[in-house]
Amino acid sequence: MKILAIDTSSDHGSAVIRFGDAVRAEARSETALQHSQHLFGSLDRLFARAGIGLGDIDVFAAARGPGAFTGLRIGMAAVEGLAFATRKRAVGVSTLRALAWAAGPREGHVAPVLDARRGEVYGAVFERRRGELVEVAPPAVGRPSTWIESVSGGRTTFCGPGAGMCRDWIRRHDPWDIVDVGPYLAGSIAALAAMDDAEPCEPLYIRPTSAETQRSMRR
Amino acid sequence: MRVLGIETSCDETAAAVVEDGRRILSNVIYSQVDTHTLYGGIVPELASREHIRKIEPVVGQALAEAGTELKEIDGVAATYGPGLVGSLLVGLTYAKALAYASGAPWIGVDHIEGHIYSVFLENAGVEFPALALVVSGGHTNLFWVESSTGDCSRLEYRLIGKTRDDAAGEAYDKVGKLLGLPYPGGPVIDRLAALGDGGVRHFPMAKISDRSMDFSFSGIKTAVLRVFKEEGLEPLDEEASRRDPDRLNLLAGFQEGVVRALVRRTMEAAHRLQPRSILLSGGVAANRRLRQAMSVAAAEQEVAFYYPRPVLTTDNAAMIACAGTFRLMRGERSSYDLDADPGLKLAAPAPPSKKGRWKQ
Repeated sequence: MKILAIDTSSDHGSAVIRFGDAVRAEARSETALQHSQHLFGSLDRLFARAGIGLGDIDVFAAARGPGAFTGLRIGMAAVEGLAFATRKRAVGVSTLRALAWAAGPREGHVAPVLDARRGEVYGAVFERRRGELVEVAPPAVGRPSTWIESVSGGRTTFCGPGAGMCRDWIRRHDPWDIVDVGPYLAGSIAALAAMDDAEPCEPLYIRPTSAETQRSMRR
Repeated sequence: MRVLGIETSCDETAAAVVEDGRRILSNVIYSQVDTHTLYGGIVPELASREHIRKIEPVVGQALAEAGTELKEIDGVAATYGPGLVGSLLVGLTYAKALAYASGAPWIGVDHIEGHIYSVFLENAGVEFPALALVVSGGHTNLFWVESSTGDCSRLEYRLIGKTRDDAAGEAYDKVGKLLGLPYPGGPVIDRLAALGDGGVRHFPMAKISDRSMDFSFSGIKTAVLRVFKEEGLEPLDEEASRRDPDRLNLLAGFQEGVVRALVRRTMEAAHRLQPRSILLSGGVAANRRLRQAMSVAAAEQEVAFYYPRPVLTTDNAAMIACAGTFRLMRGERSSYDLDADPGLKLAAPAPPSKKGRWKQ
């Protein structure tokens, strides 16, 4: 199965082509250009490096969030359009799941954390069993001090760009530590898309818009 | 040439298939108005959320209704500005992906140029030069449009007048909200104003002293607000407004003020510049009173007057496919690195000189 995976969840965009259980080509955005400017140029380079064409791809995968959704929707719109045009499958992979996978095999739990802005974080807790990720605590959003309460005691490895926002609490727990997994997630997205538990290519918002929150508070 | 158009600049997710820039094979519009009505106006993040949810079904339906497949499409056209950046990016990226995968040429289209082309979808014989008034909830622009080919296949634009504050449709939305009417304000005020007498309450046209052809609509909105406060009026829904003659006269007076300003400016420009045609487009072009008043004024000056049918006045993708078709037919192509441009300008401001047209 040949997979094209696209990550536009942060300023560091990436895309990979994966088949035969390995990443065959990767393109990383190394300029300050917006995702919408560099994405299709990156795909050209990617196909050239992988030595295959768009028609050879079986599954298109995109990061589905949570994260910066204006960027995320660029990746999802591209994947949906490519899949629609080639009559192939489009899938989505949670950015939290991709971060957890990027941390590699770990003893105990893995807790990916993203900066959710407004002083909040998105976080989840996974356990890696026999090459698959099992969700221990579902994706949630909240202040670092509140969210960290939902992480149960044992050995836990935190990762992701929001982990630093939880540093004070992580330091106080002895078996907890932070690992840097880097910003490029397309490889992890492709690996997870290759498994059977791929999710739909739809945004995973977690948090309602502020307009919705204000409206529900007024009622 | 069969072109697929995609439009997601604001709060409609739209796709259409147009043959040779004239024949509309399908024109699918998913309006998000029910979502945004709850908030009294457009919430940009919600608009983006709706676009990503709807883009695929809307495009699929447009192809199905046209009885065509993507491989039979000769070009893909998508709006790249102006508009809400998060909304624009969904349709723009989806369109690029379809073109990239199918090998069809692709072209980015200016939303405002799309509105102007909405007139040409059903009017093949429009003569140039023309005055084009584009009025909507986000724009009030008066363009001088010249053709080097005699038809709409290659046009050049000069922006001769624009609003200095609110767009005309925005004034409708704000007055509607103030008086308790649902968003968007235009259609409901048009219905209610038709039942009132526009001569009872007079709202004078904003004075713009520098002889420019610009518009201003914040003054009339404020004047309605003053009446509302001074007379201690209450917000009323459409049904209750219908039973209140004073309310109907107030709405009719407001509508008359907006229509008078639009028609008078356009006719001043027509008198100075002597166009062969006047084109009215954009969401406010669906307003029945505006169509009627402009039609009468154009007839008096013996200028041909064109406007699209209502479904083509509000945001739609048929107009984007149409504008894109003529650009594609003359060999233009967009690069895949074309980004969304929320502040895109079709033409720089170029007011004519006092004596008439521009210096050559």
